[in-house]
Amino acid sequence: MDETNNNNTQLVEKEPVKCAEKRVNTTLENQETKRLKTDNDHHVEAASRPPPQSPKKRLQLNGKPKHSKDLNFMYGNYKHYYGKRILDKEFHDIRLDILGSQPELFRHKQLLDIGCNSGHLSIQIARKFEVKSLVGLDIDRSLVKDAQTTINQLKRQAEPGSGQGFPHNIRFVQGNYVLEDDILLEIERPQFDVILCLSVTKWIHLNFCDAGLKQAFRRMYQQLRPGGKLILEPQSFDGYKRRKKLSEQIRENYNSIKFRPEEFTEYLLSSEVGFANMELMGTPDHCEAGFKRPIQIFTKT
Amino acid sequence: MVKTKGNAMKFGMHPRNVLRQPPDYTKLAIKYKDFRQVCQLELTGKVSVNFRNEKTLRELTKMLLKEYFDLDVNFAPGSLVPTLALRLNYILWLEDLMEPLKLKEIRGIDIGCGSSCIYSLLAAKKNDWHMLALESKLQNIEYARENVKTNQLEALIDVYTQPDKNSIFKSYFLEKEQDKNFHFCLCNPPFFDSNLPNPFGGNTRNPERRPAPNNARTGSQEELTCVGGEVQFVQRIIDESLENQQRVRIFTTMLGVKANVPRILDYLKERQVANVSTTEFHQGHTTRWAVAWSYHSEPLSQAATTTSN
Repeated sequence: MDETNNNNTQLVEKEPVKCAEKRVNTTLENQETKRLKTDNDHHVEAASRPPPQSPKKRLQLNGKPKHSKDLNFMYGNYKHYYGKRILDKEFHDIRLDILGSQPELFRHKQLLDIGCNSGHLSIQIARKFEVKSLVGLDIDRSLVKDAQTTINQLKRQAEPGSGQGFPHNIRFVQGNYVLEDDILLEIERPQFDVILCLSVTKWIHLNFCDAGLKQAFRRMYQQLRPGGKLILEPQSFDGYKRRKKLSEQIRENYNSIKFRPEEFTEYLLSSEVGFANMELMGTPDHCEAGFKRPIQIFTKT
Repeated sequence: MVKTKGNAMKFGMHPRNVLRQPPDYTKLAIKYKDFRQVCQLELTGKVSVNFRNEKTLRELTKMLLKEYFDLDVNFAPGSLVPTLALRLNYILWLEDLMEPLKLKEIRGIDIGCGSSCIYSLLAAKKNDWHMLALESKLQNIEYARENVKTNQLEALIDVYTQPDKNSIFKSYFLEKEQDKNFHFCLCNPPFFDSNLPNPFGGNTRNPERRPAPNNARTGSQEELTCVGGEVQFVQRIIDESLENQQRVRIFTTMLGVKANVPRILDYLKERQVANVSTTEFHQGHTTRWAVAWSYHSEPLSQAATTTSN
């Protein structure tokens, strides 16, 4: 059957703008990448200002609304979120330490990583913890493409005898984890041992509101096999506020939110979702305060 | 022939076929519960349909008939599940054939309507045509009558029990009014020959370029095969048409095998039937052929070949 994109969220897919506006993005990106232990000297794309008579400047004088500088990242789909050195052996996201405290959770298991961005962390997890397979999902097609490119490079570099193991057991898929309608949950099936949802809930929440996030939680439960685990790293609500400028829609969504992150655990353990218990895996401490997010494990019996 | 965007006009579905654009199965799965149950939810959130499953095909066709034509249809267990795209292509071709005749009321014969009675239902619902549906298998007749009733089309569709499997029009024309004539007949004959040791064995010389159809096969032995296969069946239609030349203005039939088309054309030629034309129906990986002939001077060739279905 031909590919008809029946369910594609329309994205504004543009390269980050190289102009004065980029300064803001650069700062933000620096903040996001503060989780990396290595020194970040990669954001060297100088914020070059266009000369005052540039065509772009003239357009702005026409009274057209200034393009929202952050519209490109309304899903948290930052380019270069993990930095630019992709295949760097030194890449070490601090969360790997937390996850590494229970390696048996991942070993020989089938994983789903929701909101995998360019796939760096997913790839490290897959490699370090010897997973059986990993599927990374992201809403941004170009990020998924980047991730797949990385994997293809790794495949070319891999030894011929690596068979079905890393990196052949990883793939990346573009899609919106939130479904077009709750009713589709009826036909969702268990297919993963572990689902990772790291620093994604804020973005689902801001774009798809309480209903969308609750549906996503229910979908995660449905997709897990008995005994399966959801590894959740939710952002706290105070981090939502500064994002409401991203668009009118997001502002509206933000104002409509009633389901607070403090209530997530209770909801996940309730009969509406059905997880049996929650265990705190750990909280990173050697990083920027904004990234000290607890990582939780929810188990499905 | 590989269908590409460039040759879709020539090798795609009929231009008026509502299924020419692939349906949005995700939205349809949200809307229809029974159909949803036979769908698969992909990680991407899209719904996919496994055409190789009989139950899926049944629910799919039921759903499409409901969605596009507001028809509620049930199929007898084990009976042939029609694929809507093909049935529509045939009906649309008939519409093209009828168009130049400029008729107020159109009457057609559905030879072997099956349990779904789908051609008659579509013809009646879509075009208000009056249909005579002929069927010999008892179980199919029951279901066909029920389908007509459920859709409140009794005024337009008459399901007639064929006492004899070997005759096509004979029984009906002998029994019923002599003055009621028909404008067309249509037929989906049993393609395969029950006499052959391997009736369903394909004859393709090039399996790589001619992949198997996407659909699972459905249908009972009776519906799919007969002695001599479609060639003999269609020859019988032709023979009876010669005896009833004035009763039906345009005779048509489908053929499932390309090699049988010239055989039928030769048969018609040998009997000096001059007004003949053919067409093709394209849907997915499958192509079917159809032949039309008339003892009147109806403009068959123009309508049929220019639409190039």
